[in-house]
Amino acid sequence: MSKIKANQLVKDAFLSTVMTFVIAGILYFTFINLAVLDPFEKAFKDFKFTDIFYSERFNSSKRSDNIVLVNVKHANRFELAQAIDKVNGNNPKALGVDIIFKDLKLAFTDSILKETLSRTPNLVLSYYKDGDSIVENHDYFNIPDASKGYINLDLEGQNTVVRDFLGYNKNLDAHSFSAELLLKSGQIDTDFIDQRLKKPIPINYIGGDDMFLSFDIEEVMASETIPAMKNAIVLLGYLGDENPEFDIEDKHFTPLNKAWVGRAVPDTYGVTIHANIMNMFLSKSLLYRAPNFIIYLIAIILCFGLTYVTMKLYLKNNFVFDIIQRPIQLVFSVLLLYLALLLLQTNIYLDVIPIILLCLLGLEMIDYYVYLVEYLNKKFGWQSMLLS
Amino acid sequence: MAKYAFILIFCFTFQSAFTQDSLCVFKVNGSVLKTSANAIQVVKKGDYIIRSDKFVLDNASNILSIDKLGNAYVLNQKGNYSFKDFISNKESKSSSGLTSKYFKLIWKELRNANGNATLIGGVFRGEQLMIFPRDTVKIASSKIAFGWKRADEDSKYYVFIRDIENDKTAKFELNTNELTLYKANPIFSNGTFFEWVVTTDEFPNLDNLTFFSFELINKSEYKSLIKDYSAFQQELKALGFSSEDIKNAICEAYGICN
Repeated sequence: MSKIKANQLVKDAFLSTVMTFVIAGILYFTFINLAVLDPFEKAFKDFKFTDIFYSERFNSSKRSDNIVLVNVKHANRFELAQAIDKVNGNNPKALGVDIIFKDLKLAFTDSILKETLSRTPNLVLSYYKDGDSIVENHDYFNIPDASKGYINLDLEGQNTVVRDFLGYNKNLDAHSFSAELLLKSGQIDTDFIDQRLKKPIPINYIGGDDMFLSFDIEEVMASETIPAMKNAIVLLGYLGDENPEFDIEDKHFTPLNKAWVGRAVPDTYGVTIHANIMNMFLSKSLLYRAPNFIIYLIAIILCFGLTYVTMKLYLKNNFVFDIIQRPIQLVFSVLLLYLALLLLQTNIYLDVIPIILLCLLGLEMIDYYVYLVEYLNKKFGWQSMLLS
Repeated sequence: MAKYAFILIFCFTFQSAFTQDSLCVFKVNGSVLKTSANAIQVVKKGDYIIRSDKFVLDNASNILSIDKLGNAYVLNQKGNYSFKDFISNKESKSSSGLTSKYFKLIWKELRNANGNATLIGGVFRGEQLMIFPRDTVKIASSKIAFGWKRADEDSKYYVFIRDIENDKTAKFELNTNELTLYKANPIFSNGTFFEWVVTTDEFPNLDNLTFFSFELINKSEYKSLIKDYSAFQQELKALGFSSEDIKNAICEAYGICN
């Protein structure tokens, strides 16, 4: 192939890539703006290829004893107070109570719980934002020295699957429960939260509650001491009572779900999600999310390269091109996803879906590009290598 | 050159032995004792174990500990162990890496080998024959007696006992409604968690049967578990119940049986 012809093919591949991006843009805005397509948009948000990494346990996670979970089951306030006292006796770095005492119950047990909470050092209580209102502990349980963190796991643009977390919420001007616990335990400082955690960060899950040292409330109350709690972050929350298989109280959908498409049963307790978030900081395994600029730059380069190579094939043998177009798409998607998983293993989170979709569309666009240049050739004498 | 290579290999081989000063107990099943400064203690979840500790593992007991880096170490055979023995028993993990797991998954998906999960719209409410051991009990006795209701006069009964940890199932055919097995039976040799079911169908679909589960514990565990119900025991004692009746009551009410 002469140099002029090669240049012409590069021009064709480039224009086909541009056409791919224009068509993709039109389709994307149609998806976003047409209410009738909302279900499709939501379905796409529920699915991420990279969830396979956690769902199929591709990561070789290590257990953690820096965070200790205490399952409060359906214990009453007196039992909770006793358990908190026991935990305090083990001198944890910080104690997080992932429970909201919305109303007053029995004056006697309420007073014991309040008394226990008020003498708990490094205590972090929880609250959440529901619409425009804040749901928090009853005023009676307001402990002046205790910190508070929001336990919302919902983020703008995130569907039911909890993949990201936000350490600092600008609208609330507040820190999340896990960020506040890390702050109390001296793992991070306020500047770090305000600067680094104001944008959603992907959660690097190590697993469910079996990856953390966890105790039932009865075990805590029956123990004299639990040495592992010393200098650990202890979280009190709900990790299921009887029949965990059918218990969905405070259970959420996460990428750990066995079903990475069409999730039906929630998989991870809220308190375990907080533990996973904190573990990222403690084990220094924060995920770096590749910016959109990088994602689309990779998409442009790969889409162009793939279009160029397949156009060459198209020129050599149109029949072979038609036959192997689909296998190329499959192999390319499999390899790209593999690359994304390898990056995730090194703590780089690359949203591979736009790249895969644009490259696949790029291959589909070659036939349409040929129709277009044929039309332009007839009308305006447009030159292209793909004209027969 | 060879000398340096030897030193390097030596350092890498014994690196873990030199770097681990303590381990945190993550999980304990059965009875594990440790000798620490001439004192014998029961090892519990959340304890730390140090270099000078020695361990005794009872039958069907196991212990999992982790170091500061999260590496896990397991002991699951009866015997006496030192700290050094412990850290040489690193938890075996699947040797296949991401690449192998990923391409195996893709191959399965392409072959649709995962198939469709069975989906049913109903619940099991079948008449269960099993009487004892009832569901989710802990048994410390050296022999386990299984009992069930009679179906028809001349029915044969098929008892299935499944070792949950090792996924092995034993089957027995009987004409009576009782079966007693000793703990020394090979079925119980490798595990602690079991489930059982009895049916009159010789070749049932086990997925369609509701199993009762039970856990085998040892005497010391039994003693420590029933301590939690000392108030209940004293109350029954005050009412004139015999110690055998009290044991039965604890078994019935709290599922801790001897």
